[in-house]
Amino acid sequence: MNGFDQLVWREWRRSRTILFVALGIIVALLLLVFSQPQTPPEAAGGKISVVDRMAVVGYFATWIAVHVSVFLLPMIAANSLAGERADRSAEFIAPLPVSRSVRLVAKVVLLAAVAIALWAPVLLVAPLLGNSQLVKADDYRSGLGLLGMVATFTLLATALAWLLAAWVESPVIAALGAIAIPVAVPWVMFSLQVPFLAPASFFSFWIDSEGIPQTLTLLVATAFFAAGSGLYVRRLE
Amino acid sequence: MNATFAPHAQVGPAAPAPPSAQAISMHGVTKRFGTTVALDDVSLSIPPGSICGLVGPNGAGKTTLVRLLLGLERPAAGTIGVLGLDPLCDALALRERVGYVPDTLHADRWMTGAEVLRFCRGLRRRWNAPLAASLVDRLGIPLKTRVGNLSRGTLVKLGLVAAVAPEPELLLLDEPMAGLDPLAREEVVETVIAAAPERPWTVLFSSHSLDDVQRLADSIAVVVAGRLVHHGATDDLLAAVRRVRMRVDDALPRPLPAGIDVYGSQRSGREWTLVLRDGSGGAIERLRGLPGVEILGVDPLSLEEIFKHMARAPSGRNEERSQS
Repeated sequence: MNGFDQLVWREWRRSRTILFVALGIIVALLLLVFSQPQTPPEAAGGKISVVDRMAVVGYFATWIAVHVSVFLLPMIAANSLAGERADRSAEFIAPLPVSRSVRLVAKVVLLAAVAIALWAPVLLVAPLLGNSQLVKADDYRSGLGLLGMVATFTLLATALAWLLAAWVESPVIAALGAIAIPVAVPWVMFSLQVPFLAPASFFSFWIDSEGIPQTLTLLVATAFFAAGSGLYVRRLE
Repeated sequence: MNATFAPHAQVGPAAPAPPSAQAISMHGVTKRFGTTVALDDVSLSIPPGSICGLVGPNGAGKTTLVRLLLGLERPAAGTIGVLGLDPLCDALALRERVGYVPDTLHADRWMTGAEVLRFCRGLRRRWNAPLAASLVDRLGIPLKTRVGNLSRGTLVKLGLVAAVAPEPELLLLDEPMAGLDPLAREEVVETVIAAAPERPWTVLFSSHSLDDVQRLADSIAVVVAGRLVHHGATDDLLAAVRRVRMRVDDALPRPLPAGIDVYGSQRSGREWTLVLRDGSGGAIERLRGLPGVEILGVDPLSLEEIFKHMARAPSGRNEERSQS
């Protein structure tokens, strides 16, 4: 694809500051964790091995990264689509010989790369924990379900940010809306006492339904993403 | 509202050339934004190799016209052909062959001048690097400075390099000279003039500067309130429009006799000043033949004066103003 590398480079440069800030937050949170006094387990003979240190770093880093992604990915999606209209740089590219679909793919590539960079280590950490005395591998694996829910929510928020950003011109509104709406909608439904949506049944449905809510959420996210992509490709700058 | 112009050729109601023979061909184009009509039934043909100046008051529809040519807007009605292509259906093929300089370059503020050019080069199939380098050198563009720190004049120059380096067949300039100091304007004009003879390109540039239009353009297209009120050779226009001062003993006959078409008239006591659309024919003789009319003088008008009269009387109605 002609100039595709330039488009990806531009997307990276556009989102670089947000990514660096997020990385800074992850590092700061890690430092905060490690600034707390740690007591080595007796089984380790009062010492913390290098493997243990790496395991703990990996454990906390992945947990923090997954939770940071809840805000980071919608922000990147919003900045990528609405940001270029807000700063009018979309008008710079519009008359150039590159299709909007190719521009969209460049944006997706960056978003996917960031998501993979944040989430893939979660799965890679488990083997590292094999001999760790501080973080048990089984405990870690059992916690993956919660991380999966966080990731599912992140995908929904990101897809919603994608849709909103293809529509509105403010990346801030798109990002805030994308994070707030998935939280606000169930809360409003609870408040209005919508049938079958009482908090207890809602959360038990989420936990006990063998992945059905997650699948539904992913379907909704896919629909949001497709709608946002369609809006973006059809839009004239 | 049809206007077909061939440089250094007779301008008039001759049969328009086939659309494919024209660099730009618009027929009955209307563009609306909500209830606002930005362009109203505009027909315009510009042959390859000519330079056309597009002038009009603010909000007349010049930018909309240029954006329609680039396929950045959809017309509500009418057909558009640019270099034989449909700007909406063949947008990518067309943009390979068109250079566009907006009023200001909205490139990402963090990009340096060099990055802007590298980015544009990456998206183009054709890029004349020596030409780009020579233009950068001649225009004195600081390539290491970020876009956000460049002056407006430098941004326009950078946009010009990015538009010219792919050696386009059609160059569209949308008020690039607006707000530039005379020195920067001169450099932009010189660049377009200097590059033109080497490349058989067509240039359409909108501008508020009638001096620039007069200097650069073979033809001038005037848009007022979304309507194309004139399109023809600049020299012919200057030769045609005349200001006639005359003393009238009785009232001036209304309507004026056939063949006397005016942009406007002004009265001060018994003295009248008419601006004739075409004073080169027999219009002045017809005025002289009216009873009680004595011609005091016939003067040419500058392009700016002509433009003002056109803008005030876009529909061609006679405009009378009294001074007592």
